[in-house]
Amino acid sequence: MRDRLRRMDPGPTPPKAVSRREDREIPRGFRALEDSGGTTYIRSSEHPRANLDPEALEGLALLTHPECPPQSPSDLVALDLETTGLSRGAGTLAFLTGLAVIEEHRVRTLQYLLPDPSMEAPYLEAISRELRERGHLVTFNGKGFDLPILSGRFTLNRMTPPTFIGHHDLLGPARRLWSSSLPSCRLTALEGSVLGRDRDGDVPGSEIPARYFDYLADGRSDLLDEVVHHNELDLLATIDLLFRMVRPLSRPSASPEHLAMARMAQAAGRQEIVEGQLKAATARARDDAEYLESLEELALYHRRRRDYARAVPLWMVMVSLMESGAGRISRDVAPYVELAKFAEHRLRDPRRALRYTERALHFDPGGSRSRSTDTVALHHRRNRLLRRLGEGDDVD
Amino acid sequence: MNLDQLIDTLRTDKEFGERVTGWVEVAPRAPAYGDLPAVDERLASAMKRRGILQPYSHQAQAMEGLLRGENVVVATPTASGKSLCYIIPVLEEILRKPEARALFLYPTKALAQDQRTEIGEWIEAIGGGIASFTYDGDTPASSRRSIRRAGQIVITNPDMLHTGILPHHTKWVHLFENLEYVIIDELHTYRGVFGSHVANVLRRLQRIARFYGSSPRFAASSATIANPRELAESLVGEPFRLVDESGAPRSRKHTVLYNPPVVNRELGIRRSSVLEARDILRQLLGNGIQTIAFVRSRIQSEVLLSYLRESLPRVNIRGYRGGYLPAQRREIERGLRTGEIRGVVATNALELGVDIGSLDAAVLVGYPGTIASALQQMGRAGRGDAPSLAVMVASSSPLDQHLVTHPDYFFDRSPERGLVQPDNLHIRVSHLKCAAFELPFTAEETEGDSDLREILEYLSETRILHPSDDRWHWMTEGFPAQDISLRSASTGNVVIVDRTEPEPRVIGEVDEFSAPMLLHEEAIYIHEAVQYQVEELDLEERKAFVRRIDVNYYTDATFAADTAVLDVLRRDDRELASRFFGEIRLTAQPTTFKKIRFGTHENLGWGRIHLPPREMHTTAYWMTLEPTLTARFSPGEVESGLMGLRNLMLEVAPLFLSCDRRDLYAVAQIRSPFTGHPTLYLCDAYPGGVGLGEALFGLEAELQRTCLQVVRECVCTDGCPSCIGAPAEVGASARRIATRILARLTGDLRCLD
Repeated sequence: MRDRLRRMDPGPTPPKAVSRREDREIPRGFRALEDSGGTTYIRSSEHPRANLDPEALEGLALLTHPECPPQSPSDLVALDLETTGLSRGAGTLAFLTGLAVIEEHRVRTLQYLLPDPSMEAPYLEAISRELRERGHLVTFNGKGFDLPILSGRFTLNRMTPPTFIGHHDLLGPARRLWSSSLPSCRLTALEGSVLGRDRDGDVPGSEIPARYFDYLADGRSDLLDEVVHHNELDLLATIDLLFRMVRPLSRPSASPEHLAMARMAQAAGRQEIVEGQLKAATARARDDAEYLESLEELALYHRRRRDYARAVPLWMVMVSLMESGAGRISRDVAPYVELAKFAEHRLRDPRRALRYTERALHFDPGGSRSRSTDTVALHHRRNRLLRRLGEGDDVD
Repeated sequence: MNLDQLIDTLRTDKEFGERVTGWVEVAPRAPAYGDLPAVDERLASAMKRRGILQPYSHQAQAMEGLLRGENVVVATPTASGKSLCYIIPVLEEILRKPEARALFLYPTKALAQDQRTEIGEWIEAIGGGIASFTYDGDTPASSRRSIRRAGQIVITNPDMLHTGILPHHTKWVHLFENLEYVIIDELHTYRGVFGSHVANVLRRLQRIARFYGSSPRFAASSATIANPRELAESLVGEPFRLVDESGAPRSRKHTVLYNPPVVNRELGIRRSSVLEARDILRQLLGNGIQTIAFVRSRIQSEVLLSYLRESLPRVNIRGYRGGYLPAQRREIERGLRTGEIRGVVATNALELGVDIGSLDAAVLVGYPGTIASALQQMGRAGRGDAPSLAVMVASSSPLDQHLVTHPDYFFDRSPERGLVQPDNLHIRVSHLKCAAFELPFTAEETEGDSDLREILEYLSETRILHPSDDRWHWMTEGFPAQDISLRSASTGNVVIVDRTEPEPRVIGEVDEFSAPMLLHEEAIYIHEAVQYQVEELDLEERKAFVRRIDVNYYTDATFAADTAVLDVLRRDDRELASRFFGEIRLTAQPTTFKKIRFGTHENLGWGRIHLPPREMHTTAYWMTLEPTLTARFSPGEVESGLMGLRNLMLEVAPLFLSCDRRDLYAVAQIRSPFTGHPTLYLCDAYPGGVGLGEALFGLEAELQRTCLQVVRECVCTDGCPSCIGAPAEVGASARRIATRILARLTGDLRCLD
């Protein structure tokens, strides 16, 4: 049989002895936690941080809008896994589970290492004990990856997967806040561009599974140190990103961040936050593009509340800005259309509505607007207004 | 003329009559009923509403067995209402216990779609409330989660089970904790390599079900094969109750065996079966009789389709074969059901229970290789109570000639056995990796299975698994199911790209294994009767680039094969010829191709194929001719005889193996490096072998006797493609020597010289 197997599959990796668990080193910084089911390695470290703004918790609810917002920073736990592969099937093991919790003036990271695949039950039990204390999970892409894998491990060990009041996956909000201004929204990229921290000499993600396989095979823990460090950095980046994400709520930030925050607040039904964020977005605009975009959103906000006294001047500002050259940036005729609608339906002044419509039709800064849907709609509007005014036949 | 009138005309036609070697008319048969078992009132009344007052006897038996908790396999003819046998018990179970789950497996996505419609109709008939879904590669990601949680009936295929469900079983907890039924439809398709894979997938399924504490019962349905129970039992590994007496009514059916006339007696050449079939099809289709023609190859299907379209330009005739894209197939199936399409030229791609409605007549161009396939193809004609006609036109291959000249053998022979070899080492190891990925192996599982333990230890040494505490854990980055295709040795298909127009477009695909034969440079690839010439075959990128062309020929490739013996597993040394079974290394290389003219089928020239050889380790049966046997022949005679035997045995062997000719390679060595004597190998064409070589080792005597019969009874003088091959290829003495060798080996020395 052995010969047939070898012939079938010539040139496999040279066999290596597999170390016994007892002979393996305990990786640096870890301690063994023994319980009836076996051993788990745990590493706990503290990282000084300023206390979380009280508003930040509210902001978190706004970013990821769960039904019940966290009540205190200690409700939160960040999670990040290191796994033996990227597939989400039952054979992918989470060999290192990193948790981070927020304490007074610091963040505590708790890292659980699986000493051997046969000891998964006590390992999961230890993780579960810590998670049970916290109602709110914070991850970066945890909905797509970490949580399904971790839950699968519990199911596979016939244990109940942990449940949470809220799962705050920061990947979505990060994209909303930064995808327009940054080339990448991966965690390490944001760590560099948003948090201003560079990771030098970080172990590449693709090497991580092999490091664990090697540890099991030869029992030497030094290769794991970098993986543990990588995991810790990911956890801290997740927590710091969370702090950073809610900053526009309490402190002046870049205009696109205020705008994104306003949109998320709108989606979460938090009207009281929207207006302030939009005003901040207009105030912090660095150029015409940012200014126009926030004006448009602010006008829309007022219009939704039927506050035309505030919306109309904003549209007029937009129109004059566009006609004075900012049209290079936005050729969107929406403000004209809004003004025309306002004139027709609110002021009942079709003549004025027609004037805005005509201006919209003339507004063609690039000189290249063909019969786009915009133009077609404008012509319809103009013709309808003309008919209403009884000024004769269709001109077009 | 209607079909009855046409049958009368054919019966009295002198020329047609001379070519008919067998004509069997089966009288209509009245239905036999059984009692409906006690089921939920909603089901009983739904059956009445749908016109089923009483089930047929076989349906009643199957339902009773399943309701009692037995595994049941139903093997009754096409259109006898097999699906009802399991749909009713499954619905009964779910009505009684809503958390119960059933998994339906169909060999193809198309069949799954068909059946989903039928199951949906039943669910509607009982007033709804049961969630049934198809789950396959086309299922949108957005609905997968709810199917996993709430699907009471999940309809899928073995490939999806293999890559999409089992490796993700933790997401299917509801299904696996409550799995009551597994339905295996079209059981007979799970044989050979595919069946051996599926047997392993089913073992993985049972292993996962056990883990979650369920033990489903299995219901299988099969077309007519010799051993439905044995096949079901070896696929599932559990005992089955067999239901094979059909109670369904049958209409009058004519089955005709037809042998094309000899056009050159000396060379033993008969008129081409394609041309002969064309003439018969012209009469059928010309009279408005909806007919299906089954051909043996993709090339034949396109050639015959071109002929028919030319002579019957106004009749809607289509092709149907592997390589057509799914949307096109669905459209053709629909056209056949509505009757809009009057004729179809199909390969065995249409053999499965794809729903195309009832047709009046079936014409088989050549024996499809197994009795089971022949019955299945012929069964396409004659659903309902109208009479039907099935004609099998023999080709000049030895097998066809043997059958057509022994009609009793054809009509009396029971269909073949479906064989699987779940323990093929390649296949088993592949699936053990998948199984280890799904759940660690435990020492308990290896008890009484020393092979399993050795394999697990081997996989641990190569660091694919990690042994610890009497368990073996998957400890590799990959996702093993992704690398294993259930359908063939290779994982990918070669896509055919037409670059006639500036915008290239994909017109079809061919499996990687066949690609060198069909898509070598300069090959003519025919698709929907349009010819394309292959300009470039890129096996690495899995692409073939073709351009439309209009020529009067098609191409046919040949290849050379060689073997080296690696290990002898069984041997039987004898005086005249020793036989062996063992492992070999097989090297196969396409060498040349012929250009064959349409219509006359004459050879217009040839070309070389420049493609690298493919190598595989497989198993084989081989036979060595000892000096005591060969001493009386000259070396040239031995060579001729050996070549002749090689061709003959390769053609005849499938008769005993229920496999296709292409599942075997035959290699002749005049002086084998292994034995030093003339040696003939018949090799399994799948890596590791799927049991064909071993079966031949046991069947040698029977194989030799039939070969002798074929070569003796052939109408030619010095050999022809219907027995040992063309004399120009194998030598003028080949027929004589091969006959004498076989006569000595079988001890049947009648009329020698």
